[in-house]
Amino acid sequence: MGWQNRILRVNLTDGSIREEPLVAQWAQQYLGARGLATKYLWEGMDPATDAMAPENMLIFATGPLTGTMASTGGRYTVVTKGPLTNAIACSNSGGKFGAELKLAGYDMLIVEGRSPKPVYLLIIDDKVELIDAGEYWGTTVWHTEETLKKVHKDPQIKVASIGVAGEQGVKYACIVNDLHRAAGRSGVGAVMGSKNLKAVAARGSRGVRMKDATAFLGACSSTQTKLAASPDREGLTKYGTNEMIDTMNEFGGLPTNNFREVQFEGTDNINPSAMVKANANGHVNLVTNKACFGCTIGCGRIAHIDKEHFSVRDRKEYWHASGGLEYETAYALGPVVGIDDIDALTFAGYMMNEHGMDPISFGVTLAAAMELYDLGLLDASKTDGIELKFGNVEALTIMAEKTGKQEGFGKELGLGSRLLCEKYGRPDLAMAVKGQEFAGYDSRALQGMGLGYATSNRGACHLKHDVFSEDMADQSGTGKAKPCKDSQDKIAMIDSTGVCLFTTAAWDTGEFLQLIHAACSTPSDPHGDWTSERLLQTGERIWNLERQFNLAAGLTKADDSLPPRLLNDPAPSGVAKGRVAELDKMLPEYYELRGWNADGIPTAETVSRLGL
Amino acid sequence: MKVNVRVASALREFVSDENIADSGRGELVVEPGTTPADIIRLMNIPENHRLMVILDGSMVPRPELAQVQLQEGQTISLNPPIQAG
Repeated sequence: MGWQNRILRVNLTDGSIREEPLVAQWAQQYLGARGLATKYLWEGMDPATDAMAPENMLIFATGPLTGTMASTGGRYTVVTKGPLTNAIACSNSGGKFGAELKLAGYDMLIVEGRSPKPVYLLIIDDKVELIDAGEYWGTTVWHTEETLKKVHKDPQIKVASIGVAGEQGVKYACIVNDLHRAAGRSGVGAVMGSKNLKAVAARGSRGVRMKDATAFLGACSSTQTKLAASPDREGLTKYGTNEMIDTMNEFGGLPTNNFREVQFEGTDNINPSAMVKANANGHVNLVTNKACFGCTIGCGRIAHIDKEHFSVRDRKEYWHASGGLEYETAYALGPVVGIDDIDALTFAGYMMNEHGMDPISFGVTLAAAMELYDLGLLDASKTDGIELKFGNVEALTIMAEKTGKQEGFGKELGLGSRLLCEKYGRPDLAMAVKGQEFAGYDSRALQGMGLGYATSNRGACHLKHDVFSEDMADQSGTGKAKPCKDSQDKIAMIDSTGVCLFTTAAWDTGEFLQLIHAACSTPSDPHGDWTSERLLQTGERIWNLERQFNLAAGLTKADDSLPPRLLNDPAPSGVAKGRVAELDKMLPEYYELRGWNADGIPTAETVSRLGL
Repeated sequence: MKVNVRVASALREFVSDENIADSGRGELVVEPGTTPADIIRLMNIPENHRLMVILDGSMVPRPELAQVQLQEGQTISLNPPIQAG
């Protein structure tokens, strides 16, 4: 119960499609989504496999709460080996696609091999078929999604697809569903492209059986009530995640101009107030907010671009409303490249969604290119005549589109910051961990965040730990290892349930326990005796299995690091002025708390304790 | 004495001073001995609202909001707390 107990396995090399039962023992140990898919990946492929090889597995996984009435229960996770990091990739998305896959009757879709020609996968409950996608190859996410709905005469079909960026192997290509929600990080879209899989279209009409339906409805009701009463939830609903930008700027943790600075003068032009203020033409950027499947938060933003803005003046196809600025898009298409033109940021965000790219990795890669340009290591002869200067608005809009279409210098930007900076002789300028670019928090101001970035299994990531309250209270690295480790375990569990991390605005482990305990049981565990301790140990097990995958893939302690700029150059302003990231102090303590040896390898005792 | 006030977008709905509500910043004339807690009240922000207060680039811990005395020319910044996003 909670699970559908069915896996859909598709081999694109020979075109075979088969159903198989879910391994119930693994579901009990790893829950679903992130955790369960990691277990299937670990058991199903050699971690040393090239990320773009047919032997890499691409797994779309739902959780036991996906497709249910649990608030925000629409999440799915894509797990694979990522081309950006050569580590495990685990990318989580909202929208409605995940719920549709679950309601079609599948806990998980496992894609293997490589199709000899472009195809898409159509899932209508039990009817599953691979269909020629030749006419969609080379087109955008938006075109693919809208056309598939028309072709199959069903506007309720939910589509997850890639754009040209994914087809052509942009290292940070993402998989976009529902037009502007995305499994955004680590290049999962490039893996999909390497398999010649353009899209997965799903439609489901089944329900999800619960262990105790009455108890589950009660748990849904009480947890929704708690979420509704939360002031943090209210902030997300009213302002979206971009609520953060003023705070980060005042704090001195807002990466600006490729992390040369930590505060940006232009936030007033791109913050939530700017999104609702009419410009000189009377245009207001924000149209409304939007919720994903089953969501009672509604943090998503829907915006539109001023028709008079240079980016769209002669391009009516971009006059409609679509996904708007969230904190990470605002940061990565704004301060980190020195730009505060809200319409330009919104246009670049459209490009990310339309062509299927991660805005964080794109923006930080563009920022690195701008610094290379500033240092004279790049010039306009190499950048299609565009001056890649910090603050150049046209450089942002043009390069966003060129990268999405893989034209000109956009091909180099598609490499990601690590390879780009290596190519031009300054690998130190790549603001990344394990090759994945940083989100919008500077590790000199937020030390626990820095430790989380350094140790995140998928490379730099802000969503795999939560040390914010500790980082606000104290700008040193002291005492950050334990909350970092504990929150990593908790979030690994939450990511494996099928609900959104933002429920933690009001929920703690107890709320997840109520929902999971009422939802989940298996034939060998009919009572589903879930406890808080069991849930948190499940998270710890998942974290360690991801770590084992990475070690087997060839990563080492040396990959748990931060760029020299953050370790050596003091923060120039803000509350942490004069500080550097204190990773050397935090990392040994973290390893010890994890039960890893000094080289960051789980000890035999840890492996045994977690049943790995 | 004069102090500078900065209010983050997400808190401006509480502010009755139109200029500060609109731009998020302004200059206030206050009595010597004024504390951050007094400024929070002046801005009409509810007493128990979750807040992060920065004074001239330094965090002010919540227990000290009613103790720290502002000085002429200082900048006080009122923000919602940081969370993932």
